[in-house]
Amino acid sequence: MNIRRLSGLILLVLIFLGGAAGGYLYFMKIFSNEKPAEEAVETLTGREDIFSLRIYYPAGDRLRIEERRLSRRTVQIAIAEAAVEEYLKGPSSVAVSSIPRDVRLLGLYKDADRILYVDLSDEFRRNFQGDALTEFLILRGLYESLVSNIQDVQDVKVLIEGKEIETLGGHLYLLYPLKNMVPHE
Amino acid sequence: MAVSLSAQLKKEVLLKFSKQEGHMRIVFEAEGTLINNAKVTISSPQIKIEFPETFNLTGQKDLSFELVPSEKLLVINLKEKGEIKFFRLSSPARLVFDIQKKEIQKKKQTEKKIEKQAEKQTEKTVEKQPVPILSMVFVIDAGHGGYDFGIISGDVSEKDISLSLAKDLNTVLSKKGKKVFLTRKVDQYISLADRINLVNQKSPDVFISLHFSISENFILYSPKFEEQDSNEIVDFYSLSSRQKKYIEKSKALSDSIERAIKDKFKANVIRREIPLPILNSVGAPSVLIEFPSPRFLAYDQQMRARLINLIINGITLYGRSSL
Repeated sequence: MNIRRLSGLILLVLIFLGGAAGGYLYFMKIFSNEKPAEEAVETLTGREDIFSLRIYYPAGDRLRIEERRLSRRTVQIAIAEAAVEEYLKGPSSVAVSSIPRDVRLLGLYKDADRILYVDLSDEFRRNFQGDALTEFLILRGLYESLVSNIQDVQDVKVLIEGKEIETLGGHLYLLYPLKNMVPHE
Repeated sequence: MAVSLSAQLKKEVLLKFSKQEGHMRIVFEAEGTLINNAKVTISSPQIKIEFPETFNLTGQKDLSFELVPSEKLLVINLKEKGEIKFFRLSSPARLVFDIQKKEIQKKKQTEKKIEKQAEKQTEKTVEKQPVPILSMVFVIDAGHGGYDFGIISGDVSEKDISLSLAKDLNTVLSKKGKKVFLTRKVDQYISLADRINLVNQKSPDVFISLHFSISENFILYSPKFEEQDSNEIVDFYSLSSRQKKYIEKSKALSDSIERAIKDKFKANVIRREIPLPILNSVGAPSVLIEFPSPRFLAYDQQMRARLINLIINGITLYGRSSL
């Protein structure tokens, strides 16, 4: 009798342990299936957060537009920063860019008159090589790349190392905001 | 005692010496009788001076030539041969020897020769002009300068060639009795505003700004005004109103220079209108010429003379058309 009871108890314990193990394996499988699902959601969100910038690059004797896709920025000044940085990288469609090399964006701010100040490193002036049209297109390209991507900007003014300088390459004024210095041809 | 007495009897001769880029000057200063009666024999690289009396040489040390004094004779052995010029001067009495290294001498002679050839060539071609240049006052602007090199190609820079062309143009026009002002005569940075001020002060009949293009073409820029010029920013900076009165004359000037280029070079001329401050803000018939990049054109003396000639031709044609 005692032996019967003991073997029944052992059987119950075994059944319980089997159930627990089965349950563990079942839930493990469910959780491990959920992980890739989470990654998929993240990717989907990332795709939705991409936006595009229209950058105007000098190409020959005119400006050429290239679209650049970047992760979303909502603040206008961050968009302006991205536009300048993309512009300074130069075009992907032209082998030799006339945009001066190694230029860094040092600062960017907008004043009460909605003039956007773009503070660039001295390389912008120092590494400039070109004639009057090159200079015109470089400045016009920068201006267009900013005003076409940013709302509420009246004009753009370039500073070099935080200072106003008279000219970029000896042909056009850099002392004044760009809109009237480099109007549409 | 005898030695010191003899030293006292010796006449003092003071040696002075200077050297600069291949030129050397040696000066012996002493009392009049000693200098005036000294016999000088020159046989490069050696100079012999025989004084009438014994002498005591004092003055500079660390010389770049050898001095051999003995009694009344002084021998100077130069390290290299060169042209030696000798002067006997007074107040104070002195013997002066100017020595020029042969390489420098040759270089100078070649430079002079090239200058003379270029001048002759420019004069020859300019003499061919049948019609006199009617304009009287010119301002010529050599683009860039100082730390602003402009376009660089190898060891040629825009600032140097534009200056050289401006100077040549000045020479030719001045010889024709014209009044010419240059915005810069040397390698220095002049701001756009200063260039513009100079042009407006002189009120010339013709203003020409000389630059380089990055292409193989000649490019002529004429002034351009935007409709929105009346907006407050432009008005505030008073940037561009002065040229408005002259815009037709500026176009005529560009037309004439374009014809002259096509006549002389059979080259492609590109016309552009960009609101360049150096054109828009000056009160004079104006043109900015960009010559082909030095990557495509060798700017030797002969080429520069051809370019000057074409500008003179262009000015002459403009003079005719504006009659």
